[in-house]
Amino acid sequence: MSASRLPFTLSFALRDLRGGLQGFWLLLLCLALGVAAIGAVGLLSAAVDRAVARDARALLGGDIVVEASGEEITAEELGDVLPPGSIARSTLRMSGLVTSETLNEAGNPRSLAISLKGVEDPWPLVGTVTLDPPLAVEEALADGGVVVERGVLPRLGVEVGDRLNLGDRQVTIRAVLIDEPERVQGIYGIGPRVIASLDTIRAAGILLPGAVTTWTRAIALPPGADAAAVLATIREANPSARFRARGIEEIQPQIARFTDRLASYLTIAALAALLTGGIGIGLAVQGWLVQRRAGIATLKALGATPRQVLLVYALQVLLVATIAALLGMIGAYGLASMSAFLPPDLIPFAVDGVFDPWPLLRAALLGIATALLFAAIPLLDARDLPVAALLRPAAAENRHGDWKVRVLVIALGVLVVGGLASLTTPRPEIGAVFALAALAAAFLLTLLGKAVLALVGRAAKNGPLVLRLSLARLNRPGSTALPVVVATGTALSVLATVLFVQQSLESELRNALPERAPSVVFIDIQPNQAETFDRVLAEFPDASIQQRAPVLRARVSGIKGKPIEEAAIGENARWTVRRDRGLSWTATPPDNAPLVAGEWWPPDYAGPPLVSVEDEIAIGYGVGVGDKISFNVLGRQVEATVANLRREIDWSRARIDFVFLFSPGLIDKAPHTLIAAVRVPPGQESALLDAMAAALPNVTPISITEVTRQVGDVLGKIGFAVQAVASVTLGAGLLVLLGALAASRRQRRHQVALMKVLGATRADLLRHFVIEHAATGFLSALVGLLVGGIAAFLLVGPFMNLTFTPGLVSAAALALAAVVATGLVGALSTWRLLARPIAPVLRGG
Amino acid sequence: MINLVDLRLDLVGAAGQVSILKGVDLQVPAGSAVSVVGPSGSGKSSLIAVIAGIERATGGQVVVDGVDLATLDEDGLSRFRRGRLSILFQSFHLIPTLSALENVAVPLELMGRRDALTRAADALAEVGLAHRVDHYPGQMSGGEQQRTALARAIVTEPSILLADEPTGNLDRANGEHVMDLVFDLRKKLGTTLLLVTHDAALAQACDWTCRMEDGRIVTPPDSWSNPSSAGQVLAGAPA
Repeated sequence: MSASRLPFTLSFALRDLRGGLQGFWLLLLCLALGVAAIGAVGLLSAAVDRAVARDARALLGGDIVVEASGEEITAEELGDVLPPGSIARSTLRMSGLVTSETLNEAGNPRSLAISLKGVEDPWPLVGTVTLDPPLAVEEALADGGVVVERGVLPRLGVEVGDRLNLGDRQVTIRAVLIDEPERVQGIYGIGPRVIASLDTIRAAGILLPGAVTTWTRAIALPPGADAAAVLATIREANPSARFRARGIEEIQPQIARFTDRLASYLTIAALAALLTGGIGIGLAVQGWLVQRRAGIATLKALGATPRQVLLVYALQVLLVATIAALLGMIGAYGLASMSAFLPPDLIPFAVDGVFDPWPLLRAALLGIATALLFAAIPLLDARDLPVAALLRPAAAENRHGDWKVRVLVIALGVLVVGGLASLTTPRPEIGAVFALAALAAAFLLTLLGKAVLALVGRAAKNGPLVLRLSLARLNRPGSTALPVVVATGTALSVLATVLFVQQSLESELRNALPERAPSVVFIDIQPNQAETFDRVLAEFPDASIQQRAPVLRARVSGIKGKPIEEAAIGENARWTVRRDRGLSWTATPPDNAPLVAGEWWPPDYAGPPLVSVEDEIAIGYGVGVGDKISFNVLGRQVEATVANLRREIDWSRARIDFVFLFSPGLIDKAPHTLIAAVRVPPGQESALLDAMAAALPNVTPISITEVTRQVGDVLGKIGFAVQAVASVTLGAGLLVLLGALAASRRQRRHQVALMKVLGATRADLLRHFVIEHAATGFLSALVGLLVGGIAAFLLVGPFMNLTFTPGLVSAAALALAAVVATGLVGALSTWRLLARPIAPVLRGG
Repeated sequence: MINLVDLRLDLVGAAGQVSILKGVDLQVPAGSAVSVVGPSGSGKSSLIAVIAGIERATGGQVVVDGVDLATLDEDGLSRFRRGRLSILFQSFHLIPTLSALENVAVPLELMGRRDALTRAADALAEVGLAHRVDHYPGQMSGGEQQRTALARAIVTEPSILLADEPTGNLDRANGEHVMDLVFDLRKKLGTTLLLVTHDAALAQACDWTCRMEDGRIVTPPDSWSNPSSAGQVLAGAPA
């Protein structure tokens, strides 16, 4: 294209738009909606990242935090490495149990498993604690005082000021804990949080040998100190330390792992909305260009080249898409700003300002590229429109032009949009998988849509008039049923995928897991308390022990003679070296994990330590039978030889399983506790816990019901967020439906007039249109549920290793809602047409 | 039988209210063929529209086949047309999403006839389109589309056929073919025909011709092809 031609194409494009953008309302809305959804997720994600960077010290609890299991980390252990002016304080995290004076139905005091945290004054070193009433922390925790999460109060029937039993002593609830720093130190127990001073916990007598405890030492450095250098010095000075040291630079990636993943899922849901809207964009551009056929043919007759025609209308689409993207950016900012009104537990970070140009620009760019991709075919149709269309309008109906060019343009567009979609997703690999899945889903949806429409059309062809007029139309020339079925089918498939995955997870948590899992797992049972434990359990004839095993906390410190920092460890096995793990020992092989390599040790084996390793972890470590793994057991180095490999543990069975199982001998001399899995009928669980609390106050019960409830809560919140964004897809699908109705309005108006002339009543016509649209909704639901079902099945089965259990009732409800909604939209849009007089319509041709 | 008494039609357009029909009196006996001629804008098509119940008269009386159209609501008008009155339009007005066979079958199916498709096929065969039953309107020539529309108009064997310039969009050969069919079928079925046309030869082929100008019927005596029957056909026409 010569430079002198460009002004013509631009000026013609602008002149042709002088009539206004009404013809582009569908494009504007579909694109603005998608850009707004993607932009809002991007803005929130960026704002959370900034908040994490800003609050990293408070989230960690200091500049550096060292952490170990079992015993407190002393200042001597760290060595003389801290610069003068540093402050270091210990914190303890463990599961615990409190009882109140309020009695349960059986007459025993009410008990509650808690997440207990012990702190040392001054606490916190960084950040602030909010209490209700607003006391100073040291005042609240002095003299056996505790602060509790609000959930503790109703469950124990107590108020602020009441007393609770913690181990051997009584403590007083001084305040309700509203907010605390150090959120990323990890979940430290099951149950609501209770914070006490370390002195109070020590006095309670629950810090028995082998108790599952996590100790941290938070270090606040003096101003100007180089935290990274101090961290490096700590590590160098303690090459084989039992503790793990972390700085704030490591905290951000740790949090980012979670937030990026969540943001990626939300971005994907928003991308689905944009792609669904893309179908509407295609319809809008097609409608716009069909109206302009005569003008385009005239332009060509006057000497415009096909390329100029393409450029004129591509410029128009680009211009309108840019306006839509700008509107979407404004919408994104508005939506993201509204996050301030969300419940604080949905976004647990104080987000200051959400404005950030980059997420907005990325969303806008992706939106414009998507618009051009979906507009490509109508634009190429315009380019290839024969001038003969001026004389014979029918000449425009046949597609012209080289199909290879079209395939090339579409392939290029898919590549660009897919690439941009990947880059817009915080985890590009998730975005890339989505782009491929979306492409496959688009093919599947289109194929299925065509197939069901053809089937229905064929079935209705020989049926009565009411079916032929309503259903056979769906598969006739000029019908907009296919884009509508694909668009609303896409929206429904996204919703169905989220719904089915959620249902499968919930079914796993609520039904499958409780069926095979124990009801309660008791931890921290001292070996000498086993007898008392059995005696209390015997009082409940319906309760039984499923498993009991010794356990101690240890850390993998070396693999095949190399320190853990230098060992190459596979991604799937990294979690086993991030912190202390529980390990156990047994003379006989477990019955649920057959050996895949090596031999089990003889029952009377008493030689050097041998270890049985789960095979997936062994692969991650690169070890086999005969290799050596080192462990730091309560500060002492223990080297064990791999004797055998066991088949991968099925964690979904919720049994007590250990990655590392030792041979009895040396290891069982270390201080340890027992862990017991008990099954008890649901009605007796509370009474058993209270009875056990009364007899063994240091033993902590972990109620699997409670765990599943907490996991369910987290999943529910994630599901809510994803569903909220996914419902934007439904909005896009509805827009496409409305756009298709608008596009076929002239045709329907004509048909209504004609049918009236031929003797059809308004009721007849309304019935036809309601059936037609309800059928479109039904077919969309059919296609959407099928594709959503396949997607969810793949996610739940191969990826999550769970049983696919979609809720058929909710699937039927979704289908019914689609049928009713589309039927209703069809009826409403037709209602006004029915009232129109016939004559003007027929006069208009 | 069509009986129009002081028929008036006012329409409101962008330019304000316009009087289209300004007091038309007309009686068309059952079984007769009447052509209406006149310049463009004289109200011919509007006359057809009012008789078909497509437009509602602003004043006067319209009685068709013994039914006063003013007494019918919109659904009543639709039911009245079923099987009793058919219209042949200049621009065919076929339903583009239905095949030729389905288009022709529609009025029969609205009447609840179980043999609709068979009869529609017969009607298409009668107009020489047996080979086009599965074609959509967009796939047919203008002449074929009008023959399909004719098949649809006569398939119910209506007592009244209104034709609004049915050859206006056709070439001479196709136009003649269609009108031959119209007259043959009318003769066979004894249908009352009211034909609006610009074609003088076509108008002459009817029993009587009346002329419209400026919303009124002005019928010079020499235009009657069958003057002896004029008194039966026209009442109130200028002498």
